[in-house]
Amino acid sequence: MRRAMLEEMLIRLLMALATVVVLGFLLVILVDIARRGVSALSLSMLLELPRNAGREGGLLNAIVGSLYISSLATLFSASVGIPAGLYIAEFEGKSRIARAAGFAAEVLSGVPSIIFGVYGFIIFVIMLNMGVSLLAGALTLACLELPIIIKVTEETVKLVPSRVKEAALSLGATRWEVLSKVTVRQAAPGIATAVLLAFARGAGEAAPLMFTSGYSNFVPSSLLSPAANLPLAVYYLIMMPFPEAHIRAFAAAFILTVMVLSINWGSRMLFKRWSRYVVK
Amino acid sequence: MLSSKRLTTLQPLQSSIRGKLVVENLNVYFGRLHALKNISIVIPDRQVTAIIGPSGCGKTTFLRSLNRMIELIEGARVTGKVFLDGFNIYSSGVDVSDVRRRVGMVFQKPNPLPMSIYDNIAFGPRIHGIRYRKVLDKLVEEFLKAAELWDEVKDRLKDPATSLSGGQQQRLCIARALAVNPEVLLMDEPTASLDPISSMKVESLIRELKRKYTIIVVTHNLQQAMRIADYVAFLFMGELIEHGSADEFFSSPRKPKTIEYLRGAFS
Repeated sequence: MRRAMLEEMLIRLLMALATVVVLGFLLVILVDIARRGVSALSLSMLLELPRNAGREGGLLNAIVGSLYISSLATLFSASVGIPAGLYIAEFEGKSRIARAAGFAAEVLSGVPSIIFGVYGFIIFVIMLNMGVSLLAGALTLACLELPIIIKVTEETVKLVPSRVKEAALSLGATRWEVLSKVTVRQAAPGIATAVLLAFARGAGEAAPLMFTSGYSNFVPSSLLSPAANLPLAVYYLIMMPFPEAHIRAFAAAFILTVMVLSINWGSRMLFKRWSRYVVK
Repeated sequence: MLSSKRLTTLQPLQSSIRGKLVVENLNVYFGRLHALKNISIVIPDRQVTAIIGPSGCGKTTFLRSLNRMIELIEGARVTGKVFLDGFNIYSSGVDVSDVRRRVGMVFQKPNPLPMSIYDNIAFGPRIHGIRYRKVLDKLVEEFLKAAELWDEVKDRLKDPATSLSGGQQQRLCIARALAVNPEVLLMDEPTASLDPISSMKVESLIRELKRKYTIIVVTHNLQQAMRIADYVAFLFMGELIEHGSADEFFSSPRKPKTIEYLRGAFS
């Protein structure tokens, strides 16, 4: 056999091996979580509050808490991040502020999540006097999600072909009309995906929430009450010395995984559907 | 009918033809590159003027300087005057949006907007203030008919514009340009990316549209220029070498460069 063919076979084997490692790891996690989680799952697990220090009852506090915190966080970060991403993409060439903001977003995306937790505590909980609360947790998580939304928005908007913008300009559209009616429309599937991905990322975070949203065995009654969430539920339950609590930890992990996976999958479906009108 | 129309085009350019666009000493620079050199030309009203010349001679640049789309290119600088019905579109205080509404443009590659067929046509009227659904419905139908596309798309107006074929997309782009009620239509090699049958449809459309619009077509296809043009302007290396009525231009060109070009010495 020729040397080149041998080389190619070897490289292909190595790549296949790498793929198997990745897939295998994912599969082990998913299968194990499903195996242990499903057996612990019941209607009362989804619909009841915990009792007896987490040994009985359900995970309603963590499920609702996670949904509240992640939704609020995504709302906050999207309402700042989408305009910021648009601005950076459109004015990077001309505005120093836009370039600085783009750079800041890049740096922010590299900050470890526990640091967000610490500064969320210092800024929102202490300085702004929100206390350990749903609001403080959501705002901290929003800061973590912000760079994702900014970066993905910026990149999608930069990909809008100039001939699409020219089409609108040649009809007498102003720059603002082009941005709001054409660019955003072309970029909409990408921006929507950014928002969902940010949500999924936020839903899986424990570190930023540890000191900011706290933990509670109840469904939060206001923005200023502490709120539980699924990642922290996994952490606290697995640390308990009772096997009943461990089962619950796996149930929480399973619910969290299903939530994140279905958002990822949903964002893909949404992207496809919304891309119908996009010009390629 | 057709022959009498043809007769009017035989008149020399200088005499009674009204200039819709009058270009005076137009220069365009891209940084240090002098792309268009001192161009002066009268574009006759409601006729088809073809701009021909080899690649890179400034045809597209010239076209884009007639509706100020040239300003979108970074580093472009324009001097000279372009009069649209007597008003210089480059004088200060002119509303660029209004210039571009009055001087429509069709691009080399069909460029539908990322929306439905209906919304593509309605986009222009909407940004110029038309809100009523019934009025928009009428406009969409009227201009899709004008572009001879209505019968092919009337049952699928909500479909994405990108679902149309290339030739249909180009006719959609023509309909969209017409829907803002322009007076001049600039077309940059409108058939370059189309198949022969679609090209023929667009060409016959151009001949039809000149009853109402002043049309300027950039083309590198001499046969096409012969088929559709009433007037021809020949650009070479940024200079206007020769221009005149199509019949004269093709049958008895005056300048050596033109003769060389028509013989196919360079392309």
